Amino acid sequence: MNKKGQEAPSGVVFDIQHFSLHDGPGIRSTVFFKGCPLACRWCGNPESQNPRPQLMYFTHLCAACGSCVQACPKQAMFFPPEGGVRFDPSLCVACGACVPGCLRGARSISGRRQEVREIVGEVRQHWRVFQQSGGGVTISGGEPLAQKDFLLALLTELHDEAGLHTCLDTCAKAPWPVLERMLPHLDLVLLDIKHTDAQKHREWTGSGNAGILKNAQKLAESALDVLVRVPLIPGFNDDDAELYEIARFLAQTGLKNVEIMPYHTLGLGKCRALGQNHPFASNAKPRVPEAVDILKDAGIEVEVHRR
Amino acid sequence: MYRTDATPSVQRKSASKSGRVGFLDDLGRILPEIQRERCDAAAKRAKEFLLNAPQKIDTERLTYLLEAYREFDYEPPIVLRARLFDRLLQSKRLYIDDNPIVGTVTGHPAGVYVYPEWDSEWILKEMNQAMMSHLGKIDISKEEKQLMLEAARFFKERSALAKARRLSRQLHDWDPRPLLEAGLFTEGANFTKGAGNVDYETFLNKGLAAIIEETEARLHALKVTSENVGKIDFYRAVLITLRAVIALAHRYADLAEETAAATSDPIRKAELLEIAKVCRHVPEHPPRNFREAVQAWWFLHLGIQIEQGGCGSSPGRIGQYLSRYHLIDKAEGKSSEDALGWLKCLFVKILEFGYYQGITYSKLLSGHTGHTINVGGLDARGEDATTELDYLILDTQIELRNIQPTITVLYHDKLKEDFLLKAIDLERTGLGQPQWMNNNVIIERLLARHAKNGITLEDARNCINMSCVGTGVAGKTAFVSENMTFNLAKCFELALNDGIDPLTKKVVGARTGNPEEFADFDALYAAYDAQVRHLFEKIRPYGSIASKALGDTVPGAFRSALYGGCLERGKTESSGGADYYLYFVISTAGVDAANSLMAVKHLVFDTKRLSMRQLLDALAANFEGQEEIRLLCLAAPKHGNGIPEVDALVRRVYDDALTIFHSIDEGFYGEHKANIEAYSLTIHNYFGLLTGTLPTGRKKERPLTDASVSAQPGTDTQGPLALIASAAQALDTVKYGSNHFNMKFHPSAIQGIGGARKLLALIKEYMDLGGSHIQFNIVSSETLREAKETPEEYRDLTVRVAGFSAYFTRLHEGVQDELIARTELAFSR
Repeated sequence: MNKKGQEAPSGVVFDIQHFSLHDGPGIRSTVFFKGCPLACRWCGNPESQNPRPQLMYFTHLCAACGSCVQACPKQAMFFPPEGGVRFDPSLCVACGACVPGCLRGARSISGRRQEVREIVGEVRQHWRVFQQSGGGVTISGGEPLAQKDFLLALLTELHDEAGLHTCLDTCAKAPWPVLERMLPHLDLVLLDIKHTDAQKHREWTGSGNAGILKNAQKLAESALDVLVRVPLIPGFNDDDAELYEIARFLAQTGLKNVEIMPYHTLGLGKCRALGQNHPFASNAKPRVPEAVDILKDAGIEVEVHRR
Repeated sequence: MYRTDATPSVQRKSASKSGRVGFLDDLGRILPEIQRERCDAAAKRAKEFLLNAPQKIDTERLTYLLEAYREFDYEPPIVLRARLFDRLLQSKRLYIDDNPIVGTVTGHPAGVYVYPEWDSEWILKEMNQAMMSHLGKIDISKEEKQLMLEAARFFKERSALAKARRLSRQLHDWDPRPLLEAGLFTEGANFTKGAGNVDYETFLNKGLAAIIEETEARLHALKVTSENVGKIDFYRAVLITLRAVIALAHRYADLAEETAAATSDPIRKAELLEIAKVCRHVPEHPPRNFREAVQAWWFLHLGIQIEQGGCGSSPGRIGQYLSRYHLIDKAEGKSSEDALGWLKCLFVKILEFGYYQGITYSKLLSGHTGHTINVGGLDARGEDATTELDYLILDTQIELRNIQPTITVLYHDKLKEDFLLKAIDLERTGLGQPQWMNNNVIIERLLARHAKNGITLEDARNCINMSCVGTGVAGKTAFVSENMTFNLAKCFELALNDGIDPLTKKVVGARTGNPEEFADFDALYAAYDAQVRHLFEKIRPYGSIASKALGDTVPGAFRSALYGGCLERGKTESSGGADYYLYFVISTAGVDAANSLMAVKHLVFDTKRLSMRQLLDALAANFEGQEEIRLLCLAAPKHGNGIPEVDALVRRVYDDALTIFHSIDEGFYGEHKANIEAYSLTIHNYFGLLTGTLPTGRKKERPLTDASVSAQPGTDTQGPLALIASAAQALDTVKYGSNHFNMKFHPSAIQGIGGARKLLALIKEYMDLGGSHIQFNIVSSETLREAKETPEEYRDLTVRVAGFSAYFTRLHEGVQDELIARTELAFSR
């Protein structure tokens, strides 16, 4: 509670990384918000989708010592008849009781409610590095706009009060006024464009794209720097036809800077740790050179994201 | 076999307008573009040869050693040693290979001398074991073994080490062996050491003939008084050695002429005649161009190496003091490419050095030869001192990727952008070079360290990094050790064992009592401090004795002459002649001691998760059957994570070591006080073999933590910024002689111009926080493979992947494989 008797602004964050090199200019701190309105099949951060804290259990580090079974108040961890230990995510309330006892680091809680001032205090320790490298703070996720009041309060503190370079990494799935409120407190938007076809978009992300494309148009008309990021997913959007559509859309809207994010399978282990099946796994390589050529032909500046 | 004959050369027979021969200029010198090709080819061949050739002990030195000691036994040691030097330089086998910079230490390629005058014990003991230098296994024949044994027997009682041991028994009734065997320290009298960084600049620029003249004048001006007898002998010895080096150069000139006469290849003939001309001129007279300067430098350095080859003879700011010769060449129309050719020839010469002084030596240094070249830095006026030649030195190393010489950037805020970016290009090679030293910290350190030695601001600005991470004033700082190293992790181990070494079962420490009776953490800490004090009380006086024994036995006239101050004072380095002293002992395993203390505090005293008995039992069992306790130990708070309590404890451990060290009144070099260096070479490995199980989770005989402020491998989990903040504050970088910090990076972190800027920002942050040394390991796929096999050791290894970062060990197996493959790709660019 602050002095006016209101709740201090807070939200659920699943990670803060203090040496982010590829999410905007310079060396950055990236704050990862938890919770996302989309559920992209290829999602690299599956723990970011659920807005609540979750237990992650990395079975390959587990020696089945059973300390978690002892610690769990909900019997979400148990000894199955075939040996080892087993995790039932449906019973888990992410209380974290099992984490400290796990000496092999096989268990962790993803997501913690944090106050704005706590986060601001943490990232401002690195002001010299931001200044030296032309870096700042990136808010990523999940989808930051899904925690709009928290996001606004955090951006206001970082951008207006601390004078830091701020960047929002967003899928733009939110009403325009919500996004618009953030703009005065931002220096850069990393905007995901995944597909131009509403049906295909819905099929692969669980949601249509009409609002997203409209928001993209409006962002393009704003004075803000926008870098479009296209996750290049084999079989989803890396065919010539769709690449031409994306290029056409971007050229029309005047969004001239694109970073291609090639599909990777690094989310698989995290899915398993969440006790989920990964909805999409492909061994195919995304058609990066073709995408680069098509976008470049449309007069767009293209870079390929470095992993 | 190494080719020593002429290279089949590029034939350029088209005669020019003036009618001169096609490959020669009007002055009869080989055309620069042809010479450049020959330099490149020679450097390449030499490097290939060194990668494949075993090093060989050259026992020729031993023949002349025994001869000289028998023949000149009427001379005082300083003169006897000078006569040995002279005999060797006048008589040793010479050869010329296709490197146009001539001169080698020994009579065959990749040869290694042995020095039984320092210690012959190892020869007698280890004669039949495998010997390894940094270039691989050392070959030795039966006859050579015989000669080695003869020399070793001759010096059994005469060596510096034997004398130190005897004097220690007589004066202090103390035998260092139990402490040595327990891995508490290593001593200083038994190895030859490099000469730090001598004043090449003055000797090159004046020429040895002029120095000889000055020295003759000094000698003849001296009245024969009891006070002057030492000076008289010193100058006599110096004159012998200076003339010997000129004689050596002339012998090479003779050999080049003889070889030329027997050579039919016209280019090779011309090249040999030019070599002869150069060697007739330098180092006797001042060089007239860059090539002569490089050759003159090499002869001076060869003198240092032959007199006493050992780790830590650093060229220092060679790109700055040779700059004037590079400028002469440029004024004559030569290009930077020409200079590059000569630098390559020099770099492969330096790569060829190898030292071998027994198994202990080998384990401590792993063959490191400490030829550190400094680039950047400030000049005496406090302005950026970087020269074009400094850039070319970086280019040379980017091309050659030599492990020696190593490159240090003397880092400050006035360095130019393009220079820094070139230095990052060198990092990208994955060589782990350059290392970055904080120039401002070094200046502050030298002003503080030498406050009582009358240091000037100009001298402090003219600082260098010599040996590994040691620092001093260029050309004026003698590089001498009190003892070599000590082991703080062992001190901690003794605190848990009442001063009894669990390995040798001998009492080697203070009797600090049964740890089960320690009431609190303060009691444990006091026991640890008592062990450190006990160690220093024993080894510091022994260090003074060792220094005396070295001065009595192996005073070096040549290296002393080259140190600023010795000729003026008429004294050797070992009798206090040099302007400044880096009089050092190297601290190891401070981080292991601090992490151990922290783990016991956390597990036994704070959380009471374990009883002291449980912990002691687990340690005694080397965690066998006690895996849970080992994991608890590993999970206890560790250095490198920005945890205030741990940071404070690490600093306390280092501060206390220094305070205790200085509270003991040893003053072998008077106001030139001994000080602690903090770095590791591979000492952490050597001491690791002798250190028992630690409550850090480290099993016995495993390596201790590398460097001096790095995190224990696998225990820094909070990212690079937390790590550098912890590292920068871990010890007082001004009061300590050094700090030493290794950092791992995935290659993707430094890709492109953006990556370069980010690494530079990180370096600056570390320097701004007061760190004095940092070097980078760009993580190899090898490491990633190991991380996959033993994830508990690599918990800190983060990999940046599209859209998110991950701890490598938490990734799915297939993904790990993908990343391993990708790293290989990144390196093959």
